[in-house]
Amino acid sequence: MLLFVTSHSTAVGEAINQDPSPRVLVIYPYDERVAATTVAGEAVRNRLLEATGGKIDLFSEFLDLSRFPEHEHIERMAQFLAIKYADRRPDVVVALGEQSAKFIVDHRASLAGNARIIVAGFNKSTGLQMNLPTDVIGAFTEFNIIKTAEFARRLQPHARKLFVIGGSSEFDRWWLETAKAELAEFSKDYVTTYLEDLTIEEFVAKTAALPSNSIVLALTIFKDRSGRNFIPREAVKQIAATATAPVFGPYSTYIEYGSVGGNVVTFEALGRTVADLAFDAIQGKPITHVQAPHFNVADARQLDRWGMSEKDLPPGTVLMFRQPSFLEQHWLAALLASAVIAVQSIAIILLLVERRRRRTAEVQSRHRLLEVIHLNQSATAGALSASIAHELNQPLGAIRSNAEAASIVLRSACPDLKLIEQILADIQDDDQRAHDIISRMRGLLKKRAEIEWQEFDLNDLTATAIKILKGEAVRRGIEVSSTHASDALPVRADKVHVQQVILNIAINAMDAMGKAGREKKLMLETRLTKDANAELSISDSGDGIPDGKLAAIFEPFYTTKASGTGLGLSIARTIVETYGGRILASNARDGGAVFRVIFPLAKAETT
Amino acid sequence: METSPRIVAVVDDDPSMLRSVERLLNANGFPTEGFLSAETFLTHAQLQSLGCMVFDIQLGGMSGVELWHHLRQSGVDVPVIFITALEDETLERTAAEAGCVAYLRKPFPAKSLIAAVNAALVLLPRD
Repeated sequence: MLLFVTSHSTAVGEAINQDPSPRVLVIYPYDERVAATTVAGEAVRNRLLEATGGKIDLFSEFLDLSRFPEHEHIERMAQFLAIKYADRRPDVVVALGEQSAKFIVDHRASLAGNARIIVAGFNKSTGLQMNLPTDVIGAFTEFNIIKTAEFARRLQPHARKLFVIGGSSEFDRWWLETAKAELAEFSKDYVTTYLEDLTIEEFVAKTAALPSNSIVLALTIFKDRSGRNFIPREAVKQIAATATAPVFGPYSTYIEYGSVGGNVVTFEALGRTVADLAFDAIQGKPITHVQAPHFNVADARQLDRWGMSEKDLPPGTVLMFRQPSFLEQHWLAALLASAVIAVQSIAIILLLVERRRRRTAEVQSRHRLLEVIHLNQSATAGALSASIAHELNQPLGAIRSNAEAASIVLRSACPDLKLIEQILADIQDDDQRAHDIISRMRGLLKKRAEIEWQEFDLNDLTATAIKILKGEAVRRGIEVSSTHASDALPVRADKVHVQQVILNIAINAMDAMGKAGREKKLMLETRLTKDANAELSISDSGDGIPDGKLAAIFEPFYTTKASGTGLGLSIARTIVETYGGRILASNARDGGAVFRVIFPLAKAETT
Repeated sequence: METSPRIVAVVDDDPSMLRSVERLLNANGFPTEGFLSAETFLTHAQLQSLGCMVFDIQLGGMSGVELWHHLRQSGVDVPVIFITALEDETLERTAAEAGCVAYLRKPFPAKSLIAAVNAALVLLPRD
């Protein structure tokens, strides 16, 4: 390949130096601080270094023609460079900007001999006006102000005034004239003012008092009316800083200096275009004029400043300095945070689902418990029905006999009204007695859809339970006795359920005494324990609990009775534990079983 | 003068029931003596003057049936009427077979009791 390149080069002629590293001279029209040319020049250098793998000699010359535009200076510069490069003739000269192009075209013979010349950074018509030799190839840029003006119009559709800013240098004036021609049609829609022949202070002052519905187009200010030189973007910076309307410009270099944007050639793109031409020239390939690409460019910070919307930008606009959004700035943290949140959310959802499942299960199990308790209540009511009927029949029988006696008394010649009064009083009492029995029955049979928490005195509840049991005990020949604590024993639970506990244990105790021939005694005793719990003990005079069965008696279906379900004590324990209590079974020293039911007190202290 | 053996003894552990039965009998012209338990009956009743006995079956201590058996074993042969709030057919049958005049379930109509008492007084051997 190298051989081919070499022989090819030789074949083409003396144009390409035999030196393995081709020499490229980049000529800048101004000093090294003018961004447009330096940016483009840097792009040329980088692209060429990259393309040749570093096998290239790059030279830069700054003509500084903005500050030293005199003919003498140009001539001296040409002589100096001719001597400087006498032994290192460049193979390719890249002239950036119109003035550099003019310079190299005028002095190529002394300076660059047979070097290929590439000019860049001005428009084609300018090139034509310069009468560029046909072997000078251009990378032209069309800085047409109209595209920038249209760009501004899209962002400021309601603007009614147009201001065009230009400086006093030759180039500035040329630009102003070009712009006037180009904007002739566009400016008809606006009240148009050309701000020219002004000092920098006047530019700043005038632009600081513009109505906000104005479009400001900044061309170039290389020089102001007072003759001060500027790097155009520095002038634009001063103006834009205090301008009361958005400033647009056809140069990408203005972007960082307060311009909202415009239709520009980015100087990097220009540089790359030039470098591609130069690389082709080094390789001896034929090259032709090219057009450097244009872009619409906008500064996001300026859009924010003027309250303009990104959405109004023409499609394909390069938006610069867009504040990265929080996500863009902290994408890793955001990603991690999102991941953590997602994982947490999943965990929370799972926990909620689990909780719900558990809650549903709890609700179901509580409903089942309530159902079982109700079945147990019904069974108890069934077991007590005979004694309940007996109890009810007493007052009913008395009422009937009293009523019939009264009617006979009333039929007598001289009715004993005092007796009638006593009879009626007795009837009322018996009626109340019957009502009380039915009330207790209703309490016994009460079905709960949900637990009804209430605070009650365990003493009172025990007394009620004894009333329910009394009839049955009498029927079975069992003597029921009770003692109760002098203190109130407030307990928080469902009364009906705790009553069921007492009934279950008591009926169990009465069953245990069924066959015993000796005295049958059922004892219910409430007390306040030393550790401040409410305790009810139910003891019987039966045979007690068989050894080794103390643990088993609370198990479901444990029964010693032919008719028992084996559920009474199991349900009793479940109820007690539901309300935070304990149930204990033991045998008394003098025989018989003792069941102790312990509930926490509803209040810490009792008086 | 010998007391007319027409007194009806009533034993019921329920005071209101006892009172109402006595009132009913009194209103129908039968003098009564009431007792709240078998034991007080045994200690206080004037057995010779009794024309009839109305026993509640369930009396806390000794039952009405036991009291009757006890009296019969002691040679007291006064007709007995059982009144009970219990619904126990076996007991009813046993009592009937043992020769009670009537077995009434509370609440009972007045005429059942009066008819039973009248029947008992007719049966009274000494009459």
